[in-house]
Amino acid sequence: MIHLLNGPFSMWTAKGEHMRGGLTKGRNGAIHSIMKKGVIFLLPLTGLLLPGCVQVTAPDKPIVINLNIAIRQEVLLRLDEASKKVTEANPEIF
Amino acid sequence: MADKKPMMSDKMQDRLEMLVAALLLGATVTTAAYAQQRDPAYQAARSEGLIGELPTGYVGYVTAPSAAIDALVKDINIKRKQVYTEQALTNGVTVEEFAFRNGCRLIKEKTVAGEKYQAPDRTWKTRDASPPVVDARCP
Repeated sequence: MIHLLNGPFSMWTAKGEHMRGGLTKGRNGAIHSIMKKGVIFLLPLTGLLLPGCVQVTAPDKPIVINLNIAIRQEVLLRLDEASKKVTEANPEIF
Repeated sequence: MADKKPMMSDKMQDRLEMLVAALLLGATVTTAAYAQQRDPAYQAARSEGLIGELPTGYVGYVTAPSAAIDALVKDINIKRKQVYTEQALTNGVTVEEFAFRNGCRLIKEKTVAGEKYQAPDRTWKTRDASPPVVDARCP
């Protein structure tokens, strides 16, 4: 009866067999048994994930640095004072 | 009266401390005053139109730079970016935003006649008596 339960979806239901070997005892332990089934279940999944790899290729055109940086118009107004101060405080670099 | 005789009176010590403080203060002020000017090489490169102000808040090359000019511009831009980064953090804006705001100011207020600046269409222009062409987003 226990062996009948050990179908592909029965890893959690076939408790009787796992208990006999104890949780971790040797190759027949419950954890070992669950892991073994887990590996078999996951193998097809990794196969599905592989085609999802992103292919990155270098562009053939030269890279142009875009000067259209994101500027929030409303912040420019309130930066007036700080900008003035910093320009006056560091005349050697401005 | 077994007290050891002090090396100098309290009054003398006060005077000495004040003198030291004054000297230190003087040294600081002198250093600050020294830093208040552009490096002559930087000033010359600006005046000669070899380099100019970019709308982004940094210095750019108008013509292909010599090794010396290249090093000078990089040094200035690193220092500018440091200032911009500090200010961006203080004001809760991005570094690009602060740099851009300052770039507007630098083109409008810090370029003098004969110096170069880059217009929004990326062409280099020479500053004259007329107002400079700046980005429409400049306040």
